[in-house]
Amino acid sequence: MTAARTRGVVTDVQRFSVHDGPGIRTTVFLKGCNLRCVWCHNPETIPLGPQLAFIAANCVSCGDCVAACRNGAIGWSGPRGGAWGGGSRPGEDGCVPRAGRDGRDGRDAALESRETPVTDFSRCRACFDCVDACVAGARVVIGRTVEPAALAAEVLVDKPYYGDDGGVTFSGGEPLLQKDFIAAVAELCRAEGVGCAVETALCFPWTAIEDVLRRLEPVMFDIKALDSDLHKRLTGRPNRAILANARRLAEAKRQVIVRTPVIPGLNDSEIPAIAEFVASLGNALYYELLPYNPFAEEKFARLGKPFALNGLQPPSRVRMRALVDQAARSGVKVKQMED
Amino acid sequence: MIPETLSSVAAQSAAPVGPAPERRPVSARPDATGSAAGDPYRPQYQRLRAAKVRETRAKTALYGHADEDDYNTHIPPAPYRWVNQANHPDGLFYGFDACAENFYRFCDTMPPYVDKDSALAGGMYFFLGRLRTGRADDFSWNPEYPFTALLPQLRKYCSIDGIGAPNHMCVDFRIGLELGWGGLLDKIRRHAAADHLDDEQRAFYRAEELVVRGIQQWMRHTITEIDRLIAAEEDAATRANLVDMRECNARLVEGAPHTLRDACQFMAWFAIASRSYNRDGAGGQLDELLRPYYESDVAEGRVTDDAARYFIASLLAADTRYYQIGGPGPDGRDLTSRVSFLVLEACDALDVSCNITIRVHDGLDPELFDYGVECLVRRRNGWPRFSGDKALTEGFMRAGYPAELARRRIAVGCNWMALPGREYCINDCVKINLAKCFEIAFDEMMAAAGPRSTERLFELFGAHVRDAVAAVADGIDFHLLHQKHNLPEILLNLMCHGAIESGRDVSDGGVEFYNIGVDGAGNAVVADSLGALQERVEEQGRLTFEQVHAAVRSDFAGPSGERARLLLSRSSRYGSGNSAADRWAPRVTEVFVDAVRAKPTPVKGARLIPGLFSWSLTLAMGRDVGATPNGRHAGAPINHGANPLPGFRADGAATALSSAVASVQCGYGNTAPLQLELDPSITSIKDGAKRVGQLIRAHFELGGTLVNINIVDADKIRQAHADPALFPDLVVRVTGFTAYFSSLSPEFRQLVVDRLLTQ
Repeated sequence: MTAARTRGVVTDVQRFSVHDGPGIRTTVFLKGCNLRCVWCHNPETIPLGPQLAFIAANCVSCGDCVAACRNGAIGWSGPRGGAWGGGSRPGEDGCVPRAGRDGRDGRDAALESRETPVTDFSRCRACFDCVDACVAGARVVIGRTVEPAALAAEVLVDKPYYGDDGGVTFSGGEPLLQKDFIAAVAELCRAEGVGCAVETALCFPWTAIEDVLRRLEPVMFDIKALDSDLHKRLTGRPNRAILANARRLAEAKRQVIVRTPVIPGLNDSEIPAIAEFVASLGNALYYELLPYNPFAEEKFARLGKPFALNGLQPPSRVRMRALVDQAARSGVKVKQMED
Repeated sequence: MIPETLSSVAAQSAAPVGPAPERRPVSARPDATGSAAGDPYRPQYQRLRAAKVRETRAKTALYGHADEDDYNTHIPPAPYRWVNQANHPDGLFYGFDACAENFYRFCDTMPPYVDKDSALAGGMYFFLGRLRTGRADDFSWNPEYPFTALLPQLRKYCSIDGIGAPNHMCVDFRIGLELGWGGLLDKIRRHAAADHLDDEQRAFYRAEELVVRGIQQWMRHTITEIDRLIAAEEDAATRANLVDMRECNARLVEGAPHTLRDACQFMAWFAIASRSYNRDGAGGQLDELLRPYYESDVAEGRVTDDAARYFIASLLAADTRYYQIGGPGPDGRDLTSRVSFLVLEACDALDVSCNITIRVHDGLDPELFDYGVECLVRRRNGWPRFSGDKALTEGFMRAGYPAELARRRIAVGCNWMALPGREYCINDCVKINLAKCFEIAFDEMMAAAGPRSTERLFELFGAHVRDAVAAVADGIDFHLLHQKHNLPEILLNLMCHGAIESGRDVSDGGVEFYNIGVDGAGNAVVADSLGALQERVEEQGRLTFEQVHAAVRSDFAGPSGERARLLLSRSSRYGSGNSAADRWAPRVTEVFVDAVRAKPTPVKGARLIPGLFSWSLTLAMGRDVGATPNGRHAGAPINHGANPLPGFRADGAATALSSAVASVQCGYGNTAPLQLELDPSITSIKDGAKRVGQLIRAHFELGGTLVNINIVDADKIRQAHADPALFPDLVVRVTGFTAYFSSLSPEFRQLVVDRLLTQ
């Protein structure tokens, strides 16, 4: 395997993570996913490559991005112009904006103008010139390409905090889409005495992931529905491989943590059956219920994508408690995030 | 020159060096409602706590907000009028005789305070220093000793000079516990009778005698009040407590303490008196101070653990003094004893603001550490905090002292350490505004025709830091020469090794060691500014030095200024991890440390010890500094302590913060504290307390010195900020001290909120 082929694309590195496996951990979010969950709360991790996001709250309507875009992907919401005159680039014209000529602050004028740059993401060619031009942090690149050694160095910074049970967790997206990369990083971490875990959907042929999974412990995986047809409707893929892989991990007596995101009205009726399945495996440290995270809407907006579940509220505490009780009847240890 | 020989270290050793203290099984600990099941003192704890919350609310209504420790002062029963017995035309009093005479009169006229729910008598209403000046600021100075010649340099750098700073050192309570007030009087009179005393020494002894007599007088008035309460009391248990309280106080007017209750009562009286004089708040190694009395009481069958806990809780309720528990003794062995646990249990039972520090070292009893972390996580009141023995001891040794002495230098202040009874340090009172030094350096570089680069800027910054340190060194000399003529330490002298013996004030050669703390403040502003210039000007070429300078000079006015501000403020920050600013931050520390350690003060030869700490002066020191190249607006606050600025990293990771602060330690035994704000969700995960403990221990392994942690719910703090009355009992660790959130000013609450919610 050449170094070039093992480079990875990482969305984010979150230090002092205490919800992604045992102990104090660093969670590495990798890009790329082979499922299309309708509730996805990390839509920025779906495409494998780096992509553009637009954070409207940071935008000061300076217009630099409009001028920078060579693909015609960024335009104005209103009459062409913008608070700073649009099209100006740092240093070109002394950055004297239209608003500045009457002494007003750029932000105020932008608000008054009610003009904002709008992005046609279908025309974006991911050159990221607009990101370089943006002074306000409104245009950002999601995903950076990194060598295994560089990522290992980054996560090993927190080695003093990991203790005997913490370490690194690869998450996503679907981290096993970059299995060679995470295998390389895990190996570098192992050499430093730091263990790596993984959060995966296990939606692969066993032979494709068998080798990399040996390097990762615990294996945290989702079962989003036990009914395969429902699973396909919710995620785009059936769950046969997932359940088969779960059984193989059980046969190998691997430490696993099984999770289900609880999406009201979509999969919450599946919880007792999933719990029975988890209990039958016999190797789960625990089964964890994750209440639906409603903050994905904003993330979809940043990527210029529609979100199918707008307005859906997370399950109530009472409902979550009831589901935990139902699941516990299977005999498996059940946890609820934030419990 | 002030003597700094180490030859007498062993001779003056006051800590018992012998068999390791006995530990006994931990009794039932207080539960979430504030008291151990079956603890007979549970009602007293609940009433003490309720009274404290009630009184805090009433004080805020009466006196307004206070951006400082609560001190457990009380509202006087009737209007109290104080008139200075002045010895100066300005209407104030200065020097030994006048300060002691006024203090005696203060004691003699103070309304007695007795809380029937406490085991101990006495309480504070006022600070004499503030009554004297009529201001909240009690750092006054005798105008007969002007320092106008020093002012230009001090003002140029907006330094906190410490001239006139009171206390901020630590007494050795053992001196008083051994002698009692009567014994102290005898000691004073014996030394005052020596031949060949000069006028100043005679004035010193007159003052010290008057101080002790004043405290005794205050105690007598209080005993009279206890008698009145006994006569009126119908509840048998309360009456019995008052009778015991009276007997204890009657014994202690002259005699030395013999029991644990005596010891706590004696310490309470000194704490009240000394705090009343000039807000002195340093305590000591509380478990070791009380251990002999506890063990003796247990051996004699005089005390139960419930009663011992109640006595200690009563002491903690009397004054919010800073105490250390656990940690190594002089020989390195762990000092943890049953009393260490009782102290924590007392805090747990009271559940008010407490300033208890656990000293973490390799040999620390893990059960004490775990219990401390559990209290922090469960109570969420910002206590205890934790100090790191390794870095502190090694640092003080680097300053030239032996390990045995370094281990005795304990956490007794807001952010600081001191040798009890042996070191004059005015820690936390002298501060170099590093951000101001940077601002001046930047202006100087841009005014010159010479090269413009971050390296050149850093060079100039270093030169101005050295000038600023030189200016405060002159100020420190001036303070050491004349503080005795201003506000002598007539209370602290009583319990220091050498002051009474020599007839010299502790500020004037009365103790053995003079290690003046000089803190840097605003290090993150400087590191981030250098990092931003390096990235945006030197590496990316998106701005020029001229553009940045024009922008900061105009406070980022106009669209071009705003554009520059946005670019600069989005540069990577100190704390983000392996950024340009992260690489500048240790260099900023290094140049500051080199400046402070370069030489002792020129006249008195006092050693200077560097630390990084802003205290609650983040607002005031920020107001003195114009806009800076990190995108900070003119007058905006500087960073808190050694912490990165809020927003330093998107995930605000505690480990990133911890590593950053560990990387900027000054390394000479004073602190660069880590102020950590954790979301309460940490308490909801499995082993949440264990994770917090891991974080603390790792910080110390990386070289950290002191950890203050708040575990605060973001919604709760927002609501409390909008309407403080909603949560009158919400306690936060503001900086080194804990305080009721509701008692803080809106401006200061905002600062705490910003820090809490953006970390």
